[in-house]
Amino acid sequence: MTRRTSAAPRGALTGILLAGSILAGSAASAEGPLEGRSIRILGIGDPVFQVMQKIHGQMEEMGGGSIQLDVRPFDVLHQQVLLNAQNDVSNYDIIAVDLPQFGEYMPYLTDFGPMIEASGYDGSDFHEVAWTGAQFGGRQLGIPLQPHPEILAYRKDVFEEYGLEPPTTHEALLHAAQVISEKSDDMSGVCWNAARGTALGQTFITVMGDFGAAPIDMEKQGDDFEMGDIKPENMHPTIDTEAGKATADYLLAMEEVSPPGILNMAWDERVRVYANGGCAMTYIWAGRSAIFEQDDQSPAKGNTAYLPHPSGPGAPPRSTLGGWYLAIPANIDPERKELAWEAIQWLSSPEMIELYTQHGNCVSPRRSVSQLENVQAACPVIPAVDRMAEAGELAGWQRPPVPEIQKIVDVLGAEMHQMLSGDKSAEDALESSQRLLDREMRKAGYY
Amino acid sequence: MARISVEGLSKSFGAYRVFEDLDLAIPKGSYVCLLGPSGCGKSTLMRMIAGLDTEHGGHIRFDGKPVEHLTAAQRDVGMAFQNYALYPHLTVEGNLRFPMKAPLQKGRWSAAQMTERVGEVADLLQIRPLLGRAINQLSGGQQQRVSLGRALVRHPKVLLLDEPVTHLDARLRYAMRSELKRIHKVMGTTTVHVTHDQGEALAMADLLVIMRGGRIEQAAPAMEVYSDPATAFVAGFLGAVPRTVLTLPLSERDGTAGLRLGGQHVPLPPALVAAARQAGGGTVTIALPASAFAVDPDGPVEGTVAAHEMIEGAQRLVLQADGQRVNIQRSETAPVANGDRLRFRVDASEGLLFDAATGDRLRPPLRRAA
Amino acid sequence: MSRNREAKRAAIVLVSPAMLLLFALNIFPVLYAVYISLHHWSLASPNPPRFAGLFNYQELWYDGRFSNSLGVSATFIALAVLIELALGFGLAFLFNRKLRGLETLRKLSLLPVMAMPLVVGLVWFYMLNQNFGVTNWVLSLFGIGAQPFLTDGTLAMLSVVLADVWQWTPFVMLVIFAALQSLPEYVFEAARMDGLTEREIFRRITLPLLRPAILVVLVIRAIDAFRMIELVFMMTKGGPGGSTEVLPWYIYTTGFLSLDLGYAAAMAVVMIVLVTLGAQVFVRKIADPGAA
Repeated sequence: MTRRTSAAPRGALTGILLAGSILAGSAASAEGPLEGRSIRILGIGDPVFQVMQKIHGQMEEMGGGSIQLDVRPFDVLHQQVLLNAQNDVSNYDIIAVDLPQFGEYMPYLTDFGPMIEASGYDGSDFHEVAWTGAQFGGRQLGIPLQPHPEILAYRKDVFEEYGLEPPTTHEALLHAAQVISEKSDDMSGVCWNAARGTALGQTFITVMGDFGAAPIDMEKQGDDFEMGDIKPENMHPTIDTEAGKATADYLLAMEEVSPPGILNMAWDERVRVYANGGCAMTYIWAGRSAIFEQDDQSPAKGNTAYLPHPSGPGAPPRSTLGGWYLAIPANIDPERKELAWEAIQWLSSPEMIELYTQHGNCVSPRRSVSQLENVQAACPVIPAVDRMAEAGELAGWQRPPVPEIQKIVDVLGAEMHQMLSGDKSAEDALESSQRLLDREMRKAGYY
Repeated sequence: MARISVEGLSKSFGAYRVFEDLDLAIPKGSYVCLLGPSGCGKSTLMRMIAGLDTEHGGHIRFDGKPVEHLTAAQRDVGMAFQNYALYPHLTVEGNLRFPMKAPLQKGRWSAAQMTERVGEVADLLQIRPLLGRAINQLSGGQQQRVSLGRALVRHPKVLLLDEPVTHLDARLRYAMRSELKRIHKVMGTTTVHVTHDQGEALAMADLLVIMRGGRIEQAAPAMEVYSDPATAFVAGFLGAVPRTVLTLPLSERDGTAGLRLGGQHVPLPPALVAAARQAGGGTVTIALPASAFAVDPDGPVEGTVAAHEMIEGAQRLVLQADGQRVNIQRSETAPVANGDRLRFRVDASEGLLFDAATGDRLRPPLRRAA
Repeated sequence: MSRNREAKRAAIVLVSPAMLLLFALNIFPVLYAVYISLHHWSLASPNPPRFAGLFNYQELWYDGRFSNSLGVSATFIALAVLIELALGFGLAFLFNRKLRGLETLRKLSLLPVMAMPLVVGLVWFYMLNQNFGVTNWVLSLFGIGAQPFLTDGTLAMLSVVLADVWQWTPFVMLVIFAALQSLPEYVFEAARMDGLTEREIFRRITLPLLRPAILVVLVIRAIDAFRMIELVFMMTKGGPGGSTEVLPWYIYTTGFLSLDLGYAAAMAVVMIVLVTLGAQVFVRKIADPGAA
């Protein structure tokens, strides 16, 4: 029955994303890094891989080989990576890995270290935080493709009209949102992920980061946390804490100044509502800003400014870094490893990163690309993110790379939704989240 | 119990006219069989009497009172359907009780009376042990009885039976026939029984109505219909070995009138000669019993065997002669094959004459045949 | 004797592929689910599965989210199936009349059944969405304010029910329509001769005769509704709070998002048991026509 109930949405989802699987057909020329060979990639239905689908023919021509690109929804990708890891030989040469997933996938990935050394590859063009984000225990497990932070986008024109300060803090954001909600007929204050489940769960922990706190008891290291070496005693959940309470209160306060139907709003919808002028601010994964920046119809185009995730009282601004890396499965056929490495160098090269930005993926982890004029014109968010990266305002510890991260997100996504729906008080929701996660950690045998 | 009279009945389905000006009188308490080939309109006629089909011209009267405007239930008619039409979700007893619980019967039956009446009917039909059974646990014969019981249970004025024994096997069919007669004797209800089985009709009917193509060919007591048919169709329709019906030219030889068959002269008895003179056009239709023909190597007429079969100690033959079919029955059996040529004799003394054009009987008849 | 044995052997040989298939496709997965449910089995954890005994089942007992999802599932099944039955019944009778145009209309009315449930969920999500949904726009034409179709506990449940009703009423209609068409005409004539009015014929003849068809469609729809996950996935994700979190959706998030296979399997086993028990009751009623 487990199989049956799960197969329905999965099968159907794949159906919806039928365009996801593109099999190379044409005989490719032997010029380019692929040298007439065929490369198999398991990707995600996010902007960067969607761009690759869009320009698939062009890429095969450039690469000089065929590219089999299987694009899957998040959950399905997660399952397939784990299932593929059980095979004797991997079915894919390259897989997409989300930054917080490295903790979970660590045993199943190839270390790029020796390859980097042998080929003299230079990673210094990448943002420091993006490059080192994939380092675990001295091993480089991924090459940045689309690492980007969740930040805040707001309408400069609207803020000017009402004489409001840029919303750099929770307080400023709530104040601005309130003013706009009251004064504007059809514009709400702020759009954010409040839909039940993963969407709200992610919101909770990223906002908790605004208070300088992580969802589990990790070692503090300055304003940030030590992530390279998470021990069992670090696995105690820290939800029912002051920071947790402050987070819950902030979500409740935001609910008041949100557009209608906020309780069902998630990634796509919040950006679309913002793009249509339905709200004056939105939390957004930076790369998705192309949705309005590259749409002439949108009132937000050219009128949007970007800020780091607004911070809570007394805490420095920290935007959660996430997004996609390219990695090589540990069980890859050794004879294909060199090809995979060649392909990854090519796919993450400055020329390709620049190409992606021109087709709707507003992410550049490379300083050299961020400087380009045409890139900045198509994606005003890129220089803004660059500044945040230089200022050290991007971090990944809000979503600790531990196997239980999805469970944490799921529990918070359910409990906090009860709180937002008025079924539970903040105290009750925090208490039961803490209790459920504590039970989970014990079950997993950490303590 | 009621007297039923049908007057000037007409009915059409679209352009197809089933009846035109049909008359029929059914005496009170009689047992009437409507007999005819399929499509003759017998079932339609019954459904009109029942009130299931009310769109027709002409009149139907029960005891002289017109009933066209009455619903089936108001006419107080009980009907047993060809395929029983029992209520499959009720038990036998439930089916028998059902008509007494219908709205028009309200107040007529107390609970005790109902139980008593169900008991009576069950005894009459010998189905008392079945009362608690579900319908799908019954055999065809048992369902037939229940269906009959349901039609009888509230003492209807008229009982209508649509092919009531057709679906039963031969043994049951015979048993059920006598049962129906017995029940009719006991109840005395005016009964209309539709069938296409002439043996059944001959055995049961007080009044036998032969129908063809939406017309009544003859309505008379069974034996009369058999021995003194009013039309050529009736003459050739009835009997285990039906009469041979031949349409032949009149001829004359040696001063005696006769018919020409296979180039031979077949003399007519004097009584028939008188009748034959009424015929126009020089031809006449004659119906002859099987006994009128005898296979004889020296016989005057020759025919080809078209069909043959054995029945208890006798042989039936169908011979093709002069383009017409002759039914012969002989008691000695000899091997024959289709296509064999046989000679036979003809004795027209038992013949019945009909108008070749209309099929109507040409009288005077000779005598009442046995 | 030897012929008999040979026949027996042939029978075994001929039947065994079917039996193997049945085992592989039906029985084995259930047994495997039971096996998984007796383990701490997390796909996310690098540790191998550990035997857990009845731990997962004990957890279920204390899990408020699990009991909530059972209640939500029960509510959903009851609402959806009853409404579908009532509407499907009415439509079947309407279509049973031999009126011009109804034939075409009946064929058209089957379209929703052919749609993929996930697409149905997506369509209804967009129609009922408060920010760009057409439903609230239509309501506004009548001067009715925007309704929180997907974010109010009661309305969200009704919205999911509505989508399910939209999709499956034609199926119920079809089954009952087919049953109506196959009812013996003679029985109705007999009832008319017995003097029953049309209403009484409906109550005392038609309904009892349709009973098996009604029960069959009830079982099929109830089991189907119990397994429904696509509409919740597309429309509400189980929200607001947990007011539309049906059991399969909780199983899905546990097993395929959090990858806690052991616990999800325990829930799935409970679900199988409930479905089997529930279906037995109905199947017995179908098999026993005497119990009117």
